[in-house]
Formats: sequence, C-alpha cells, structure tokens
Amino acid sequence: MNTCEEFLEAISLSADGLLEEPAQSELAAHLADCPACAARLEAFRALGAVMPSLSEAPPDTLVPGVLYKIDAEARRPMPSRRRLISLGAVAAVLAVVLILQGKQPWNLPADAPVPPADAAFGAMSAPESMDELPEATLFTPEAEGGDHLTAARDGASEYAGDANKAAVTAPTDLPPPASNADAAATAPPEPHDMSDFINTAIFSAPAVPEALASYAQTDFPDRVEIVIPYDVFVLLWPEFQDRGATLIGAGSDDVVSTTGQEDGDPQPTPNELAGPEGEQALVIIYLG
Amino acid sequence: MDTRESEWVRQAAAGDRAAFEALARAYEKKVYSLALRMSHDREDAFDLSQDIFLKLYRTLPQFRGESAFSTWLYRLAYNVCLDFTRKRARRRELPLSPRPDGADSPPAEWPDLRYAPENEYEKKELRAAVAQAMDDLSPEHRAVLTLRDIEGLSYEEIAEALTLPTGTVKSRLARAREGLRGILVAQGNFFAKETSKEAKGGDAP
Repeated sequence: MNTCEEFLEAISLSADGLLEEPAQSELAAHLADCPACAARLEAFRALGAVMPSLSEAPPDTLVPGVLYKIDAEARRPMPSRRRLISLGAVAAVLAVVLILQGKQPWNLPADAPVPPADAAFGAMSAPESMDELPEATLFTPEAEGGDHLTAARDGASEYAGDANKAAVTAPTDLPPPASNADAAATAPPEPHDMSDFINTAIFSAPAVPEALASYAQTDFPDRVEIVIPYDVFVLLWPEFQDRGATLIGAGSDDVVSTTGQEDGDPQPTPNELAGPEGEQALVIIYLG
Repeated sequence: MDTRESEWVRQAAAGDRAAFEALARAYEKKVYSLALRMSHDREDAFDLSQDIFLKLYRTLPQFRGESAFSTWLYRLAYNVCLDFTRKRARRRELPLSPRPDGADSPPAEWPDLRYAPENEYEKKELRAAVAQAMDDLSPEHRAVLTLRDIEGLSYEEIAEALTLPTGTVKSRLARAREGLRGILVAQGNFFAKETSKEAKGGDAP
C-alpha cells in the first residue's frame, strides 16, 4: 500500500501534466480516497499558475553595465591567476609592514622623526633607472611623475585584531623593516599625506623586491592592484581618495566587481564593491 | 537550437561585442529572475546578474556545445548564485526568522490560492507571499522551483543545468513544491482547509 509520501512525486509530475500510465490511474485511485493528496495536487497546480508571475525584468541598465565593464576590462585586463598568486605574496609583505609600522604619520608630534616624504616620492617620480628607485614600487612610475599610490601600511594600531590575523599568514622570519626615517626629517609630512609612509611601507620591507619586481614592470602604470585584508582597505580608502585615486574594483573572489572610472561616473564606495569582512580583497585602484 | 542564437554564441565566443550584447539581451530576464529568486533582493540580483554575464563573457570561449547554450548559461548562473547564498548564509549570524520586517504574520486578507485572484491587489499579495515563502526554502529547492515553474525549463534541461540525474530533479522538485506549500499553509490561509492536519502525508486508506 502506497503512502501519501510515496505519491508526492506523482502528484508533482501530475501537476506538470507529465505523469504517465499506469501511474496516473494509480494516483487517481488514491486521490479519490485521500482529500489531503487531492488538495496537494490542487495546491501544486495553483502554485504552478502563480509562479510565472514571479519572473521580473531587470533594470534597463543591466546589459549596458555589463558591456561597459567588458570595455573597461579590455582597456585594463584583469590580473591573471598567476599575477594573483604573486599578489598574495605582496599581501603577505604588506601585512607584515602593517604590523611593524603601525604608526600614523599624520598623527605624530611635529618633532617626531618622520619618513622623508619628498625625497622618497621625488625619487619615484623621476627615476633614471630602476637602481635609483627605492627597493621596489608597486608599479612603474611614469616619467612625468604624478601622484603615485602604492599601498599603505597603516591601520595596524586601530586594527589590532587584524594584525593578529595578518601575522598568521605573513612570513615570520622577516627582519624588521629598515626605516627610511633615518635618512631625513627635513620635510614633515602634510597631514593626511599618504605618500611618505606608503613609500616607507613598501620600500622598507626587505622581502618586497622579489614580490614587487615583476609588479613594477606592469603594462598598466596607471593602476595598482593589491591584495589586502578588506577591512584594512576600508579603513585606508579615504586616504587613497584624498590623493585622487579612483576605485576600479574590489572583490574577494575571482569575480572582481568592477566599476566605471570615466569622468563623471559615480564612484562606488568600498562597501559596494567588497567581499566579506575579514577576507582578503583584491583591490584595483586607478591612479590616472 | 535556435540557429540565430548559436551564431551569436559562436561570434560572442570569438569576441564579437554586438553578438554578446544580443545574447545578453535575450537572456537578461531569465538570468535576473533566477538571481532574484535565489537572492530575494533586487540589488543583489542586479549585481549577481552582472557577475554572471561578465563570467559568461570570459568563459564563453570554453563553451563546447555539448549541452544547449541556455542550460550551460543556467548552470553558470546557478553556480554564481549558489556561491552567493552560501557566503551570505555564513555572514548571517542570526537565524533567518523571525524576519525583521514582520513578514511572519501574514496579511489578514490573503486570498485562497485555489481561486483565481480577483483583482490586482490580490495578485500582488499572492505573488509577494509566494516570493517570501520561497526565500525560506533551501537554495537548491529555490533553484529547481525557479527553473521549472518560473523559467519553464523541462526536467531534462534542469537536470543538465544543475548536473543532477533527472530522477533527482523529479524528487527534488516535488519536495520543493511540498515545502513551499507547507510554508504557505503554516502561514495561514493558503491551502489550509483539507490539508492542515495531514500535511505531512499519513497512510493512505
């Protein structure tokens, strides 16, 4: 003797008009004696009639948005898997720096030793050769110079939990970074000027050159791609913005949300683009 | 398969932007509807749809024509949506119910589904109730219901899109429908008369 449970699939198929003989007759016999299953069939049919109305047209902007992103990607191809791997190495290095140099230059007292903003930044702006560059940069600076963001180390002091997390993934045998602060203290950084400590962060991490050397040769000198704990990025983003950077995309997966960066495009907030908190995010920033 | 569509697929795989646009236009409503039912959020559905189409553009050269393009796209869309729902589930610290918007208590005047809704208001209420109830199903059940009852795929197409045996699609769809019905019954007016006491299937006479 079949139970109602065993008729469930037959009822479902019957609601679709797909139940064949002799199963259809068996079901009909059961339904004659079982109001519950008869009602179930009725309900399935009623649901089937309602469901198509749940289909919804997307906003008109869906396909144009996709095409725009495709065009944007064609201009600036997404990093390949291989590059993402080296980005992981970059992230590890950055994480170390974040821990080791958890100071906020703009909050330092005026007489405190500070990294040589102008010197380091000047060297980046007009390099005569790679040898003259500090140990590495995140990208190839254009000869004309200009605002170059690399990556930032700050946030550790406000993000102690993050530092712990980063420490797990970071190489543990790195010596402390050599400090550029020894070199000069002639140009106190302007408040909220990232360049000095960004440079310090990048240049003073001993393991950086290998990780970043290939990076410096990127074909896209106007963009920076970093992998960084997402919540650190959110913390830093206003500073990046202050320096004219545009967020191209961020994400925590191989699907990186991208956005337009043409003139007039609304800038997304990191929150609109990013992956879950606590995960590494690939962040792409346009420096043009 | 639609020869025009297969031509679009071939051209788009070769990088033809116009062909890709034609494909995207042809499928945007289907993809968006799936994303919407999977995410139960229009903004998320929009973002998911964009991700799906971007992924389609990147992976189209890998399409070998072993299945229909549409089921191949549905599989891609389903995987992106499933990934999203799993991540979101991990992020949600609190259980899904009770819902913050008070949707737990159904409106007093929900129509009985067995009768055709008589006016636009009733239709709207009904749609909203079903959509809300679907959100309480598992993503797997949501997907199979959406593909079958909203998108109108055949059992075989669903099997291909979800990489499941057809038999599994049949049983999963039946359980999804029963689950949906159960939620609506538990909420109140829907299907309540004959079924509320025996909804879980007792012995047949």
